[in-house]
Amino acid sequence: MLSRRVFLIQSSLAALGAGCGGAAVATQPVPPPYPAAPPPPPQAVRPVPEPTLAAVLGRALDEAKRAGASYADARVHQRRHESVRTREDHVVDVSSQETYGLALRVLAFGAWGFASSPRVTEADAADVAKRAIAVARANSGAQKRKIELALTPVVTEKWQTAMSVDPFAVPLKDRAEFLLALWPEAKKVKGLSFLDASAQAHDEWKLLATSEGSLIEQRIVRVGAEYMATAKNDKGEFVTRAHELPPMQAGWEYITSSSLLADARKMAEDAVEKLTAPSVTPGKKDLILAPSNLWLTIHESVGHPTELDRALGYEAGYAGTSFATVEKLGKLKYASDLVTIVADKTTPGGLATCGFDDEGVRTQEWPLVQKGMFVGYQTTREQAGWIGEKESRGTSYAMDHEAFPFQRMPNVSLKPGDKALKIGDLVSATDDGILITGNGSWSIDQQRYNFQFGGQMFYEVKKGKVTRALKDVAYQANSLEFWKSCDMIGGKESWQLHGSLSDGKGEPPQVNAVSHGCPPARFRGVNVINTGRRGAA
Amino acid sequence: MNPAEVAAQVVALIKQQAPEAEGRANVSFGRNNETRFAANEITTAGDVEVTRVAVTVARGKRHATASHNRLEPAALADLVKRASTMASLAPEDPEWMGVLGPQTIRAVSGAFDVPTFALSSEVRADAAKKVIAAADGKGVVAAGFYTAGGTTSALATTAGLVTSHSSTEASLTITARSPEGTGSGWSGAERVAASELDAAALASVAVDKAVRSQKPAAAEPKAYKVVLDPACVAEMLAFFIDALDCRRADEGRSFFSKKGGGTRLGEKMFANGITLKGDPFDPATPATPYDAEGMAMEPTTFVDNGTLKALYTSRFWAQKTGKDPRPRPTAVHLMGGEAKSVDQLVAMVDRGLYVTRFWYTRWLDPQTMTITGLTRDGVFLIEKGVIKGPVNNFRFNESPAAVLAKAKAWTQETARVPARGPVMRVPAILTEDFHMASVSAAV
Repeated sequence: MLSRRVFLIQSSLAALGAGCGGAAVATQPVPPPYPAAPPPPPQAVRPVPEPTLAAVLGRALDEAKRAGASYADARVHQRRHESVRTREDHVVDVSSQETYGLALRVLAFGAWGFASSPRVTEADAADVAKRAIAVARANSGAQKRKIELALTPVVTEKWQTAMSVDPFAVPLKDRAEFLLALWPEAKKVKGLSFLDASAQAHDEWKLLATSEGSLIEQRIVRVGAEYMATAKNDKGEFVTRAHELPPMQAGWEYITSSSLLADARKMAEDAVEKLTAPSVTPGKKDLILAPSNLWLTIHESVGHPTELDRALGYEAGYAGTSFATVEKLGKLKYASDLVTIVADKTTPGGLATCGFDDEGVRTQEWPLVQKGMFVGYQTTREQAGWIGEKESRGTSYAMDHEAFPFQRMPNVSLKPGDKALKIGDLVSATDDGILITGNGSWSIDQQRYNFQFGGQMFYEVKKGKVTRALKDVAYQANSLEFWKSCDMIGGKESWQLHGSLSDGKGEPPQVNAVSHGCPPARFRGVNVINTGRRGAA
Repeated sequence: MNPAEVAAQVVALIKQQAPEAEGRANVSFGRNNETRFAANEITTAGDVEVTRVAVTVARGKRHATASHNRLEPAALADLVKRASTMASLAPEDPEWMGVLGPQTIRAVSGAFDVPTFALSSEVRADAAKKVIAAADGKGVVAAGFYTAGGTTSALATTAGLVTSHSSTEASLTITARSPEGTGSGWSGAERVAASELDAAALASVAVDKAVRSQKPAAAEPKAYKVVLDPACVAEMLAFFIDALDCRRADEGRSFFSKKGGGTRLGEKMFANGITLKGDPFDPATPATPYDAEGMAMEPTTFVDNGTLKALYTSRFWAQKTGKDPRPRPTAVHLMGGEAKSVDQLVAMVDRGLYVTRFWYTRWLDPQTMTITGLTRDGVFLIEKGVIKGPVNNFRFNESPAAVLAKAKAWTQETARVPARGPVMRVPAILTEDFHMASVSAAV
């Protein structure tokens, strides 16, 4: 067993070394509309030459097994983040952050243990194993349910983001100048006062080895750019307008081919328009939510409630629990019949997309809500058995080498409707409503019943036409009532992928990146409040 | 090597590689040892060693920062080279103020506890087991987190600033829920020394609230008189601290902006007796005595007896506007009042709510400093000065500034609460006209 594992590691590392020459290794189709091209070789120089990593991972797993672990996974994880921030006509920050190290999770004496080190040597691997085992031993005996891992095939694989321009290879100066080009456009608009912009690039490289013999190398690159225009008047009032470009798993080409620059003037005009826009009259309204707004509502009211650990109380101490408890699986009417929502880690360009999760399970797509019925949960290998499933859905994730892998949200997306409807068709069909784009303030309770979402732009819709912009709008609803009120969904042409680089969960908190695809959709009779007045709505 | 030695080595590398440039090293070594529990069992735990080396290099007005977590001499040299290369490629930043030279930075005592730095897994597991036993004993379900560890940080610049600070922190937070999910209670504490965390006492508070908050009665959303536990006050205060930035106020995009320009400094904005201090040297709130640039903290009174007295001001903004620079505080203390206890606050309320915890607070409108959020883990109806029983949770839309403006009374004793942002000590507060916007079905 031991020799087989070492063999696997060594042989696969040889293969990985050969693969670094530039052949595309993504197992996913290339995300449209971003062009297919072989990814360049990883830019980061790993501090330890890779043949040594085999020995380090092998040593960690060996020591863990010798000390009594029935299962272990060892991970060498490098995480890089580069960011450029500007305001108006100048740069305020250019930074590069990197962490690199060894993580080891062990299952021993019936309990989990975990330890990590920033040093990746064989001696440190042995020390990390000793510490992880000590943690498991201390925790032993305080488990009420036996920890059993669902079986998963043993694999030797690699996976990499499909991209044409590695963002880390683009000089920071070029990235800064891209952002600095926004202000000359935006400031042409009278009344515009400030423009804060930033561009980010994230890179995760990890090599995972399990005691069962899997060995998986992955590189995941994500990019994002955003800016916010602020307008103010002489009455001491101010408003902001943020661009709605979503972050994506992609190369720098995604940013340069976006409409960020072309929209700069429009964003500034929107900010100024918002400043003078009439304040909304609260009440029940029909809402037409653009994908740029609806994705976050999906995240909060479907993504989080269907995390199985939450539903069973394992996140009660921090993120909370869920109204979607296990006895409701297959029985709860979650949404109107039009609504089908799927989870996946396979959507091209999706921020959570990858080949394998952090316990070596191949990624997949599965339904959470099928024609309005609650039918699925997000699981890991430990959790699959909790609801009688034989296999994990592959949603284990740890953000870096200092972090314990646990259940994290995959991409969660609303399927388009059968009819080829566009946002304009939804507007035409609406007598008295509000069209909302972008994200503003958001907040939801710990069981995911009561939420309140704002937006960037709010347009009054009267008799099938957009009449004027409004301000101070937020919608407040109960998750189930909201989804049951959905009566129109755009077609596949209107489906867009949005997402977040900073979904938080766990203690200590870990950051996860997820995308949510959706078409525009209409929701009937939703409670709209005026955020400018604090009073009860 | 310790962080100060690494910082000195980085500064030497900057001088050697780029004698024409200036730079700063921020180095920290730390341990984070953690144990989680939920569903009355220990779930995950970890023993994590954390190293960070950040290098800022500036060439004229071009600057950049690079960080990683390795200490080998070649890795440090690479990092300096990376920051230096990035800086030469960065566009000029007219706001760059240069690195700081020697500062008089007083040492903070009482911020570091040796046993807490490397608290064993057994001690944490024993605490978790005590909490689980207390929950099992009352038939409720506990979840929580015990974290203990510490950091030694050092900062050095090419202009001769050298400073360092060591701190430890231990915190235990507990959420207890009734098995059918109709009641929930929370308790939590944060201390410099793990030995001061009393797991059994904290468990009994959370378990007791879980039992008492079961089967809440319906209460309508409207404006209430409320008694806010320290956990709620600290959550709101974090937004208040965010808003205390002088530049945003001067620029007309903050609650503290004056109509027609300038700030509201000197204005009586809050209730008599409301005083907010920032003092990392106070044994009640030991914290880092300098900011990330190495700017020395001085004890500051931000709000004095209801009057806005100070805003924090970056070095650039201070120079531009002729003000004194003032770092963003690393510790804040909303000073205690007259009330002997939360019960005494409750006794002052004819009809109102006792709110024990907030959740998912977010900015709603910075102009009025309004935030939204929810209540969680126990809301109780007060009638004629007595707690009548549990009621449903609410979503609220309210301003932390209004809470302090309308504060009627607050406790003498202040509590250090695990919270976002700086080290925080706050009292429980009785305030009025607090806007509950809708009912939350969550427990």
